[in-house]
Amino acid sequence: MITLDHPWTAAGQRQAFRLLFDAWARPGTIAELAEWSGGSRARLTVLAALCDSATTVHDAHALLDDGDLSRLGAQQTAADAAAFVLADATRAPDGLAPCRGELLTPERGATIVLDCQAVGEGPALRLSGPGVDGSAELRVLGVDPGWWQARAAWCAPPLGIDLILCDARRIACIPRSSVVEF
Amino acid sequence: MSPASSLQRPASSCDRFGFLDDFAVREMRRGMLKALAIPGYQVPYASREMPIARGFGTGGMQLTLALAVPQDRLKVIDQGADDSVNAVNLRRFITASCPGLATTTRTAEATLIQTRHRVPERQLAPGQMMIYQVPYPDPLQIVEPSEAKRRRCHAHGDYARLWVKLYEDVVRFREVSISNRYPARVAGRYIIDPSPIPRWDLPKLHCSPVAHLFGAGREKKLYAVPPFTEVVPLAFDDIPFAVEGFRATDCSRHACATCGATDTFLDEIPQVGAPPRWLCNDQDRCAERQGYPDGA
Repeated sequence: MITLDHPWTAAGQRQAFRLLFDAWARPGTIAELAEWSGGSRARLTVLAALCDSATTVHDAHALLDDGDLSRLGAQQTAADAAAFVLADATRAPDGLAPCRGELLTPERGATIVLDCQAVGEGPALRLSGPGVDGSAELRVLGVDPGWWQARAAWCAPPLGIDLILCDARRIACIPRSSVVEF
Repeated sequence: MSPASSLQRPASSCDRFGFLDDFAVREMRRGMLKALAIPGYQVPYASREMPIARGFGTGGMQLTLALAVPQDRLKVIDQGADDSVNAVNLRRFITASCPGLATTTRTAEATLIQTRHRVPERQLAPGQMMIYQVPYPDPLQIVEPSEAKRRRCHAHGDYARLWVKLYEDVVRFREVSISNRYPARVAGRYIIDPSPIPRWDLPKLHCSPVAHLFGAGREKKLYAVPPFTEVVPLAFDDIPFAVEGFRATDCSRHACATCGATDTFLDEIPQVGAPPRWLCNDQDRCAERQGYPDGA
């Protein structure tokens, strides 16, 4: 019998999602997913907990191998139609135009999973808005400045994109409702 | 295709934790995240068939089942009571389908609190989460029967007809006549139906330290109020929002006949040939004030 380790077990995905949920509800807080990642980078743990054949993924910088894509089961589509966009944060989002949703369907705004060098280290961002008590500091290393300019252009709540910043083990979330200052 | 890649969803002993199948759970996860990202917006979801009838708390139960992890401690209340039929049945089903999940009646010890129609009196703390069973998710339903039109109103932030309804109430009754499901604006944008919690509970949602998730199983909608988010009841400048006063004819505040509390939501219990008694609606708060005399 073939058995698969985290992040492909339902139990591990359940635990990882709960950590993701708490980090998402409180933008700027950092969640440690290593226990449920089975050695994979956190980006794969996040996608495994959220994606299946009912979802669409755009792998902008070919970060997923064929095995991961097959296990995720998500359909690959163009960036402007994908529910999830996976990208390398060190590369500028040139030409990327993710779905921002529409006023009747703002939930269709994409979730962008950004693979960074480090979450919790590096230059500081200041976050405020729903989920944040006053303001919160978040440090991320290895994010091309173009991403912050692009996010500002894409987000006009309730429309916009939601960011999940991932490094090897940790994640932090910046939903569209957050205000980001530098 | 390699053997590993052909295994799209591996089986494991924990696959059935939480009753829902993997596709349903992932759909709810995606919906919950979007609901938090767009505070107050009603996210549509499939709302699977559950072993209880729609309208009996399936929305809240699906949220609980999708979120629970074995180390959680669950509290289920119905109108402030842990031991009413709805709460007992939901708790029994959830614990049967979530092996290892502990339950409690004490608000302070719970990590997940599923509720019908009340928010616990005790101040909630980070690490806890509120999950509401919602019969009617849309505050515009009282003024517009068409869901398609209501969605357009929400999209455009057009709540004029709701304001007119409140104004008409004021003209007819000199106050807003909505006793529960009182509409409130979340984060300055969407107006929500906070489920049939009394007005008393609505201020507890404002800048709360916990996330509040609302699930309407029959109507197939879920929405959320993230922590530390502005929740403002609709009111006019000259007629402010007010919670229940529980005042006697001499204007004194009724106290709970059991614990003596004068700072809780009270139930009026009619008595034959005697004045009514007033009791705390939140059983746990009442027992806590008495030092848990029954060891509950």
